[in-house]
Amino acid sequence: MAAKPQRQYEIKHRTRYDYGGRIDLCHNEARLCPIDSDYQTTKTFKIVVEPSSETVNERIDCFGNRTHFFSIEHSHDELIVTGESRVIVSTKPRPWSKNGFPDPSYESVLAFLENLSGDNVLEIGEFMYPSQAVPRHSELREYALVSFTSNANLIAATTHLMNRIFTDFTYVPGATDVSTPVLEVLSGRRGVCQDFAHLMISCLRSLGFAARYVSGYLETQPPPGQPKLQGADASHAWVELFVPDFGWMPFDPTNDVCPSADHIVLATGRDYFDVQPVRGIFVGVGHQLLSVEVDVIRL
Amino acid sequence: MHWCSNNSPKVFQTWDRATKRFVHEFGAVYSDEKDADNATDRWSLDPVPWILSEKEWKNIEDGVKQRVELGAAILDDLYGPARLLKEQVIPAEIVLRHGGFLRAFRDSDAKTPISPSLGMAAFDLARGPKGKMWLLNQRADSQVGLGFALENRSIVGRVMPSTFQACKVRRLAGFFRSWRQELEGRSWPGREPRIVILTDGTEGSNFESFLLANYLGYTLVRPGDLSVRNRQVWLRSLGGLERVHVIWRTMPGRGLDPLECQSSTTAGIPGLFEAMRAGNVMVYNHPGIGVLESPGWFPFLPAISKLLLDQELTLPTVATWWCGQPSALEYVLQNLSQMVIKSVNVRSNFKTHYGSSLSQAELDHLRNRILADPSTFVGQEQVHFSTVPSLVDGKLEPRTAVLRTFAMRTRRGHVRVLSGGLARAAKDGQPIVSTQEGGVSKDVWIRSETDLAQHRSIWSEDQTNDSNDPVQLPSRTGENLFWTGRYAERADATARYLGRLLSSRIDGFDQPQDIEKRHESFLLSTLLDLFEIPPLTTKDNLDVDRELISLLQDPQRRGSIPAELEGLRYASHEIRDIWSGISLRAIEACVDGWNEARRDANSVFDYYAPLERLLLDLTAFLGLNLESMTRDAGWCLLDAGRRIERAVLLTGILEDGIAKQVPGDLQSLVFESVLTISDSLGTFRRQYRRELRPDRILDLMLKIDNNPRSLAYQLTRLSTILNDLPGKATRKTPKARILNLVEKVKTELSEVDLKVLVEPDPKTGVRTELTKFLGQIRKALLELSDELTVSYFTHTNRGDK
Repeated sequence: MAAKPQRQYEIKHRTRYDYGGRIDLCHNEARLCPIDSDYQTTKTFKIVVEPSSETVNERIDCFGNRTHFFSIEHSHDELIVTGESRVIVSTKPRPWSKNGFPDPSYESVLAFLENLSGDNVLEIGEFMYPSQAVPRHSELREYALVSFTSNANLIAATTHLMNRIFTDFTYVPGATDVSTPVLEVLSGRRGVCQDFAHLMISCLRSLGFAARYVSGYLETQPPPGQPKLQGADASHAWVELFVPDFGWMPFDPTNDVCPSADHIVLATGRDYFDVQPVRGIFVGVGHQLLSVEVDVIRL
Repeated sequence: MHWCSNNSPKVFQTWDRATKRFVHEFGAVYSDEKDADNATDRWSLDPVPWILSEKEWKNIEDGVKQRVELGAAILDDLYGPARLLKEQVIPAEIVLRHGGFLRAFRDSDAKTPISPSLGMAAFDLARGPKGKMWLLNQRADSQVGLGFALENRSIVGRVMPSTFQACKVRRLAGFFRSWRQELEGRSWPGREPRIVILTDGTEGSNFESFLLANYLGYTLVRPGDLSVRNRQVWLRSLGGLERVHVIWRTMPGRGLDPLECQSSTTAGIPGLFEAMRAGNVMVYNHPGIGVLESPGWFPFLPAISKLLLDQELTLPTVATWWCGQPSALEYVLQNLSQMVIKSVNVRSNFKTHYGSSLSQAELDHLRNRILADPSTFVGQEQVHFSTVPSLVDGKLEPRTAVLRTFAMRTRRGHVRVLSGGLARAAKDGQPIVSTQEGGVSKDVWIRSETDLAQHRSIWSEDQTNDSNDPVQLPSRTGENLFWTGRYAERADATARYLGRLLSSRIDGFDQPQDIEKRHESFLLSTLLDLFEIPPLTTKDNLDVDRELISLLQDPQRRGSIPAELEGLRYASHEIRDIWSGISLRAIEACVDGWNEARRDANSVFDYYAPLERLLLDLTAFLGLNLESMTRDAGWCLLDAGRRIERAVLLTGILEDGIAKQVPGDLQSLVFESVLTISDSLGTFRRQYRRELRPDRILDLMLKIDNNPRSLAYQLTRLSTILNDLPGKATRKTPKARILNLVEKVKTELSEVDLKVLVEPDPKTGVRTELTKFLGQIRKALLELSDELTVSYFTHTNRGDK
């Protein structure tokens, strides 16, 4: 078998909180370490916290993401968390690149999902039901059903749904925030990658499919002849759909593509709130002004 | 024939009245789990208990024990191998969609040393037509009702002591003794474990937690009192940060750690789960066990019991259908008019619906609601439960009732059931399926056939050495004590002012009308000044009648008696756990007595007697605390609050009454008022037996230190009591700063020459030196109050620059 085409990336993800005053105590959870999978290997990873934290404790959460807990227990007015990693990504095989892989009918997939057993109950079942950012609603189902006509096949219909989200919705940074409900995105027809991912997941789950949220990075190529701008790249989000006999297949509704080696997976969960790259709660009076910089450099 | 049906209506009336009085005096408040914010319903109690024979109880007890073992086995499985899900014993959706299933405790790596286990659980039971007991609900996330079971027993035992003795009723104490041992049983490196009861502060949960805290002697805390540092839990106390080892929570698990729960509330203790993972704190009940509360489990429990325990369930569950399964959904919708429909999430805002009492339109609406998301509903058979005798309007009548039983499980797996419980009887004709829903509560008596073992208290015999380590109060408690003292003193002063005004209205002190009027205006403007109350009209044209009515009656008016009493009630209720029962009754007496006066008064004169009564009640409250509270930091702050407030008010009274220029014809009346309001007129007369003169009044009110109303007395008390504050008084500590402030004022007072103070300015007639002196004293006292607040109450910035 020929060697898989591989790419190597160096990633720096820097999150800065400005508290607008001094606070005495904060507790944080970070999910900044890219996961290991059949198509991706994290060679090195380190997390840097400023001001320094006495301890950083690592655990692996129930979705398999490496999670770091740390606290700052003295007076401070800003917090900078930087995740630095080196990752090797290989091009994911597509179902259609597997010889003769048939696109399953969507009824057969639903029948399969209704009768999950063994490890599948948790590994797939966790991604079938509503979660905090993914509601169940008839409007979402109706939007989705346009793509899932009665004799549709799963991958074709999902690709169709992705095309429609890309066409029907406008990418408008700042139009929404992390707490904007999916139904509002659906009626407002605009948002950012996170909103489109939540929308697509909601549509798929409301039909009974298993779909999960992926946080990660996208390598953006600079225009020819220009150097790549530092910090120009942001963290990204897309969707994975469970396809029986294949596994999780990625869809990026923001860019209308099926991700391959230029999408680097950070973490997966039911929705954004399971995989938030940095989540912090502080004790004291102040506010949190957040700024994020991401550098993805191809080596 | 019921044991008490031979009693005459008169006996019933006596019971009823006594019960109401006790319930009222305890200030019991109940709230629904779902609507904890606004429910402030008084707890209602029917003194006639639900009585069970030993034999009947044995069946219940065995059934409940089995249910606890089953619950424990389910949790071990769910947060461990999850066979129940993987082998399709229960549809995964029931677990995965339930808010009580906390994924934070299902980490993928095995390093995590903890998994949610069952500590205490509650079960609702009802008796079917053939006498068989049926299980209706199970609760694990919080034990709502346990405090009330305790409270009801204490009241009913007092209402009918002889009947209680004669019936050989099994006691509750053994259960609590075991629970204590469970909480205290794990050994911690170093010292005795510090145990707290955590409440989210909603009124109902707060009241129950307070009952339990008081009974067991644990500190009652709110999430904001605790913080996590170094993966350990610390209590913000008057003595600084104190390590906490065991938390008994009465708030839902999913709100406990906002860092790791997808919860919209910011309440909770960030970092708590991490401290639990580190093994540095035990939390009872463990968060994550709330998933057991879903009624969605019910149809599957017989099979689960077979698989996990290899046992048949002895207590049957009321027939339940989980609507997430198509066949069950169809059945429920077909029989909707005979079904009880519940949400699978006991904390959802969906109220339980009884199909039999719904109109066709309501049934259609319910049907659509179920169809929109069937998996979130169950249908239950509406069983017609048998009744228990209940006291209704002085007569015994049959009422259907539900019994909540409580059980605990030790770390070693031993299960113990409370010999009693909490019953709720339905209101007339209404169906009832949960102790959460309305109705009147009842005590539950298990009659023993043999003689009761000698009564043992909940306090176990000492196994360890007594620790004399004083338990420090939470800072919030200290702050509320301080304000309780201040509010009591303010209410006292306001009542004295208004009493003096009313006396003037009643007899005018035999003065000409003009003098009487000017004196009243003088009193009123001094009162408004003292408490910085904006007048209803203008300052120069006060409407004495309107002001009087408003200050006596209007709770919205700043500085009014009802407003000050509300401040007192609020500050003291926030910390109900630290008062003795009798102190609480004294506070209630102040507040209730005044409310009654407001209801009954036809004219301002009707307030005269209640004012006297209020002064008496306030004195009783403060005096009781003198008698019944330990002289610890808490008492010290309560007293400090009183002393500071009293001294500050005194400087104001003297400034207006003595320092200002008062017209000659008013002087003697004003001086008398100053002394009356300061409660020192009698003392003055005994001490001087001469006319009222400013120098004598100043001497008595400032310098004489055996007059409990004088400034000197307040300062002497302050320097004694503040010395008992936690902490060292070495250089530059907050305590040293506080004590220095008091000493500074004492020196100023002892060095001041009264002859200079009493000398009026020849041109204006104002005693400017006195004004200046009083101003300085007041400023220093307020500084003292601020220093206490910063150093002992908030101390968030300790040690940081």
